[in-house]
Amino acid sequence: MSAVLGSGADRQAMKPVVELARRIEADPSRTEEEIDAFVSANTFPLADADSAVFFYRSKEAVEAVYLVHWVFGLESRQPFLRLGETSAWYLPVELPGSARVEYKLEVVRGGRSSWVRDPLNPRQAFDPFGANSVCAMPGYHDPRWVRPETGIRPGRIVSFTEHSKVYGGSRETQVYLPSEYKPHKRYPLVICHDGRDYLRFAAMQTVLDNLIGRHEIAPMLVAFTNGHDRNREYGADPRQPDFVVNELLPWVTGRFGVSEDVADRAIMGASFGGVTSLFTAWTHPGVFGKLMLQSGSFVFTDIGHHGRSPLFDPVVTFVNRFRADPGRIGVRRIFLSCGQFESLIWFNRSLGPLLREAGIETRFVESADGHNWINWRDRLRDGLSWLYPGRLWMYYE
Amino acid sequence: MSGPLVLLGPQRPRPNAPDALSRFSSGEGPVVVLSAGWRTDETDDEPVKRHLGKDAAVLPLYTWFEVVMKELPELRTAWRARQDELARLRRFHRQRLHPSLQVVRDLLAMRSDGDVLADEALRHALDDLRRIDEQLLQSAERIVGAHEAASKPWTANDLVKRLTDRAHEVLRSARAVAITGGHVAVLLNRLQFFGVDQILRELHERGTPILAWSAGSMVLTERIVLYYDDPPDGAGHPELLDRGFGLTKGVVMLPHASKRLRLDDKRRVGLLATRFAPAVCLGLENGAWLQRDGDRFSNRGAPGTAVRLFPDGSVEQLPQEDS
Repeated sequence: MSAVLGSGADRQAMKPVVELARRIEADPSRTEEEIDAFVSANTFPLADADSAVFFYRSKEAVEAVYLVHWVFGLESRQPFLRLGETSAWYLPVELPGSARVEYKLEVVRGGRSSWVRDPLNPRQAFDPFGANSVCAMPGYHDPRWVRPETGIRPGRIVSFTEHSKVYGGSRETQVYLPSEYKPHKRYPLVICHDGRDYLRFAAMQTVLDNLIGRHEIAPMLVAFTNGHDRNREYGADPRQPDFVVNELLPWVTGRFGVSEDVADRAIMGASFGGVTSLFTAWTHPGVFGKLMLQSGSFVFTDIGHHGRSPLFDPVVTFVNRFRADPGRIGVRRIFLSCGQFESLIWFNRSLGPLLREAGIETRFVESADGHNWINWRDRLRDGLSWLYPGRLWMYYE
Repeated sequence: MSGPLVLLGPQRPRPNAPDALSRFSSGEGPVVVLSAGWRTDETDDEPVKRHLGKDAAVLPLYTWFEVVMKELPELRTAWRARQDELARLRRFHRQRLHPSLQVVRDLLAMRSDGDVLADEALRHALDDLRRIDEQLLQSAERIVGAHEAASKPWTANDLVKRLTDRAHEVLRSARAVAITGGHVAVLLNRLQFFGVDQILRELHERGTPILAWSAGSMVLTERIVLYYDDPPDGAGHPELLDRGFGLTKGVVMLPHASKRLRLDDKRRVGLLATRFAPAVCLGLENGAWLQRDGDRFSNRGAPGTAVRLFPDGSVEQLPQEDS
């Protein structure tokens, strides 16, 4: 049976599977017990320094199993191999040592396929669409600052709702106030698109508490805003900058102690939230001094059609115009991040040099991750400390 | 007979300053609080009264300094010139420090038992490193001395003299003095600006209890070391800030050591401890309480809240009580 293991069998992470195959081959009558023991003894996916082995086992008849993931550059639906005639299936995949991959399994039974989370892997990541299983390679570690830390004074979230003339309805805003907040003092302000998702899926309140508490970033206010039809509103739609600059900003500055210095005002977002952040700086130069753009959907064309959904039409038109005159935004400092497993990596990589040539202090960080909230969470420390560094070397409280 | 010196760890989440201070309730006068390290929050009475009692009174040195800088433009100019020169000195210092640290790290990695030549090279590299540190302190002293108007501002300015005299008067009336944590450079500078360092030495000699935590404990030592092993940007090389007041000798205070230092990295720990030897590097966590009464030094804190870093890279809890 060992011969059926095929390519990838020599990988370190495959050794337990090879051993399992040998044991089954030696005593086929103990196949199910051996698989039970194997499943109990291991954590999945199996991983070594540069590869992972996904494993699936079903006591019901299964015709096929596929790995479904969103790693740009790899075939997005990869078939598992069956371990002989057993109920076990496996798939070795080469991955960078610090990679983090969100995935599901597609299981085909009775001619019908369904997507499921990996039943052998308790590690999950959540997003507005539900949850995915997570393959975290040995070099990936959850940052220590994403969970509540002892001795850190928590900030608080204050919510308010106002009527937006721009959008013709009510809009809720949540504002993070650091623990040390005092109304008579003036703080830097960050406006954050997709605010509810940043709070819910990127643990942003905890992250702010920890980074401010450690003095890794300056105490700041963060105004979390949310779109109602976000793909349209954030897709280089002129209403959104109008809303942010002429409604949201006065709402916040009228209620809280916000610095009037342009350098103390930043705007941020991920994906289309990155697009609308850059678009706001483009349409209202001089209002924001700093930007944080995570996995921005900065698709552009040198010639021809962009080949994406029609939602990208205004985005591509804007990005093409922006690329012809990047200095117009009048921003001092930009943080860019993108996952190497995203189709957007090339667009983001090309933006860094363009911004630097325009005289904008730019920091670009890549990670072995995809277009997801944990990737954006994990880059918050790099980004916020680049925009508003704290006095971490000097504070011993 | 010098007075008790109480060195505490960070006060969050469970403060132990009130307990420590309660041991010195006899005597007259207020508990004078030096909280300039809190900067604009210096005069925030609520945490002071909550932690240190109703008779605690803040000596508002940070606020006074702001007033002086606003009222005396010539002094402001002189102060900025001094600080700019010190900042330039630090930039040059880092240019020399970082390669020197790398050499020591490389030699430590190359070391093997019985390799006399490698040991000798390491000793020389450590001498170079310590010389660079010492030269920073000497150059800083020279700059401070050369800017007398900024460094001894009470000699030429009536306003500063009045405030300085007032500060000294209040301190001399104190039953005890408490020095809070916060921004260590601001704390050090403001205390020096009003000549408080001299008065603290005098009070200590007279027997007045002095209690300090975190940054406050750092300024009472001979050398103040800044450290953060895992900053968002840069390599996280520890560096000297300045000389402290030297009320407690032979120790380097490292509050929040478990959060700010990679205590499980033997090479980093070993290098830090070796670099500042013979001074002993002490990590202080919430609950730590070290006390010096005369020549007697004791650890009265909760178990595990004070640790010693050794040149071999190990980290050990300080034994309880006398040591």
